[in-house]
Amino acid sequence: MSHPEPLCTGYEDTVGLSRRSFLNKLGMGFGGLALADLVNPLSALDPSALLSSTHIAPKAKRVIFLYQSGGPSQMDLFDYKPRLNAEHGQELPDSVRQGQRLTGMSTNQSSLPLAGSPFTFDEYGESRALLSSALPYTAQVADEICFVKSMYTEAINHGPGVSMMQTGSQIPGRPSFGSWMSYGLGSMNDNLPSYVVLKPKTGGGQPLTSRYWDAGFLPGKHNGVEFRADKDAVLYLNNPQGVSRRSRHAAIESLQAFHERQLAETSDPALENHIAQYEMAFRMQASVPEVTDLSGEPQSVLDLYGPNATEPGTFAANCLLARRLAEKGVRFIQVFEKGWDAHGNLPANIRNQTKKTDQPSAALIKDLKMRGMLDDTLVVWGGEFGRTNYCQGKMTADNFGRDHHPRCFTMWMAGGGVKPGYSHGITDDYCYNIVQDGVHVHDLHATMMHLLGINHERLTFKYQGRHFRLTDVHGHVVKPILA
Amino acid sequence: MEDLILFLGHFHVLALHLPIGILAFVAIAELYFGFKPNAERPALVNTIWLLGAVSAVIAAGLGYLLSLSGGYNEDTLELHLIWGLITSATALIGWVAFGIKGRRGKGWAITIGGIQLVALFTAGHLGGNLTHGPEYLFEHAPNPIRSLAGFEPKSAPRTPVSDLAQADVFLDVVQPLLELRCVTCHNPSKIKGGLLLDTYANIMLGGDSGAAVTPGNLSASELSVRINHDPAHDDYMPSGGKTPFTAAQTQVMDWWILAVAPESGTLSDLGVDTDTLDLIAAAIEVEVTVSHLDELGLPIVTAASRDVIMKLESLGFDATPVSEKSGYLDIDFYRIGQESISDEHIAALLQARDHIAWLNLGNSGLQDHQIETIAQLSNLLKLDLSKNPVTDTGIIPLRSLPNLQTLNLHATKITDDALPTLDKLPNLEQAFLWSTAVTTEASTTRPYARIETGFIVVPAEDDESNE
Repeated sequence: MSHPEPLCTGYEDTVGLSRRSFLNKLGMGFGGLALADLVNPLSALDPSALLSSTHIAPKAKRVIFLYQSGGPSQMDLFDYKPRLNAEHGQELPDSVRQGQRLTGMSTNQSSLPLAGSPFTFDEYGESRALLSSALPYTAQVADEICFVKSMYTEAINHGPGVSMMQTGSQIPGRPSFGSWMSYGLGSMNDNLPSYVVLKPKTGGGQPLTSRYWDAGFLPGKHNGVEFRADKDAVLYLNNPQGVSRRSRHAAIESLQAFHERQLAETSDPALENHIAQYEMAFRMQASVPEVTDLSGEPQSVLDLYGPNATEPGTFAANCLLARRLAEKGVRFIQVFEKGWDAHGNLPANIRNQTKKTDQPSAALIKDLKMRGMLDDTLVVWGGEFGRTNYCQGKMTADNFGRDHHPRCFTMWMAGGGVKPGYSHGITDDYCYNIVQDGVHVHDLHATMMHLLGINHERLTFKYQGRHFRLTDVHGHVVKPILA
Repeated sequence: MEDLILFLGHFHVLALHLPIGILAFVAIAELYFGFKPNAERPALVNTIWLLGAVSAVIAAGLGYLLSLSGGYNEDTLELHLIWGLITSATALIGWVAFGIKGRRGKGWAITIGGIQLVALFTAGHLGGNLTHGPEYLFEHAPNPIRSLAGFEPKSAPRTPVSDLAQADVFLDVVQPLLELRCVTCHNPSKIKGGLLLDTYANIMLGGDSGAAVTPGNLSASELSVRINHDPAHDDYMPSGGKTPFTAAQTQVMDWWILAVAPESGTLSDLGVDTDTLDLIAAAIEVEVTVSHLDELGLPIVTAASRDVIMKLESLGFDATPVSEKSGYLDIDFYRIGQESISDEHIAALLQARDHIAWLNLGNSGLQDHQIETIAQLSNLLKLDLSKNPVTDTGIIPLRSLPNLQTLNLHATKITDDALPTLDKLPNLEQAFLWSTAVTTEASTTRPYARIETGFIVVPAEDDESNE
């Protein structure tokens, strides 16, 4: 059956075409193009849909996003605020809160007492970065890091917050950052997906659902592919018992032949996507076991990442795996860590979380640097928002909690063309409002895209009659943090 | 009523040209016939006196109406008014003396004709100053004439911008644009809308309608709002059908405001990107000195042909132009399993010999003998040969790479004996040598050598604090 009218699913875009197949089709000359036009005039190739090159020379060729789900507390890790200690237990002044909405969890509290950080701060490195005593390893690579202390978002709860950070919209359904990159830049290594997601195997915390790495309205092959910390890193990849690789190959080839006949009649982009994914799955049967096998890693490297490096599904192992994927040309690797949502027991929570994440995060920087990869690998660290300067729940002598805070939080970046040993943005003495150089999530996205060589205003996808962007109609490149 | 006054007042600038022409003519004619008594003085001259007088009175009346709109330099305006009245009065006297009383004497001709000419030019000049600014007349005058007229000698003009990167953002970009289109009305003698656009400080003071420029905020910057209006809009600037900014000039003004309106600084210090530089070049009509270097700092080359890229792609390379503006290629190679990169692969790279700037052959199984071919890629800036069994002797051909800046040799079989080869690379900035036999002692004297060390181990905290 053929479709005389375009469907409402991004039909008119060059869905499912890799840069390579695009070039191949062009290589067939105008005859090839004309045939495609005859079959379906709307399938005429539009080179702008998929970038045939970046807009400017990229500083970063790949991104490793160490996502800290739950919202790490900025004033206990990065943003030193002695005034909170001085006014510990006193009420949050209304002049500081300025009518900021609170979550349902602390909005009914009769009192909002300020809570100073139980951690001590010191200056580290030649850049004299101020860091919490909870981050002894991050402190050792402080001179490689660009801290952005003036991040802000509109979201005040995890779902919208993570969606915002991942997709540029609080409302679920838009494509994630990694999917946009896969769509725009394609893959460097055809044997692996260009967007890989690594999650912690254990532990509670806010759920991490696949919509955070979904391709939304982009072709499905740009979905983030989750590598699991299990015998099968990618589910249903291995051949069933009794099926040889050769017979699987033959089966896929036959299926492909059918698909291509169908495609010649209907030009259905979903089919092109199917073909691409079958082929990718077949190639991943060989490439995934190779990349996930840590047995060849020398002990000195394992030691860098700390004692958990060989325990699959830990943050340490995932950081190590992220480096291996980066070496193999994966464009966007997202390592999720959970458990930063410290509504209560914050001091213990921070100790526990930093014990899991501090050394592996810093080790990743070290490891990339040793291999000469830090220059063109952008490492990003942070969560969906920050935490409040006031105590949520009961405050005791050595225990308290912090609620969600969207008005300011800290993220850091390293490598990939950001200014090392630099701190951007200033928050007020209460760590509540931004005083200078606020960076919205859209600005972060625009800046990351800039480092990847993409003008964020020029990577679009037409869907439901509108040209969508990751940054919607917002976003400015934060020039001061560029190296 | 106010509208009617202004409507009529605006006719002043039209009507005033009649008395200037008529009275100048008749005054000269009177002088001529006064000095040459035997010449036949036509009776028509009397009628011309009458016409001149009537037009002068009308122009003066309209001028008074125009003055009610305000925005003119008060002192100049008053003088202009007085001299305008003198002109009208002299014209009336001339009509009465020559036309009605029939005076023909030399004395009468010199007195009335002379006064008429002086009054006419004085009033006219003052009027011109009101409209165009006092600088207008002598703006381009030679310095001796300027000093005679009581003006400062022309300040040495800024050297025309030749290198846009070194242009000053205010003196070479913003100020010339304002002078071109805005300052004729927003200068100290014609402060239209209470706004002065002649100096940075005055721009920041704003005018009657508020801030002309709010750094970083276009919608709060009246200047931007008005130049961006539809030309039919009442508030559109420049008003009165004067030549407006071009699209590029408008964009540059907006760019400057968004860039928080810097008062000084070269465009390169401000880190202006290439797109904006192009825009500024168009706006101030500077022929940009064509850069002879690519985005990467290499000589400009035409893009690698699609056939070559396709050939490399079909062999399994990932070949991408470095950017849409660059002719150079970024090439990666990722293998599956342990099959080494073939000589056919390496030979294929020579098809893009001049185009390859970034080449990643890390962990490709590359052999020593293949490096000779790679050393022919003379535009290489970044080369990754890491995790390959290459040796000290194998990398010797690389010393012929004139542009190489970054060389990755980590996890190869090189030793300290490789360093003399690296020393010969004139532009080498970084060489990654971790996990090789290169010793720290040998590398300390080489600023390019990068060998990272591990962490200072932090003692584990006692279990109590770990939940």
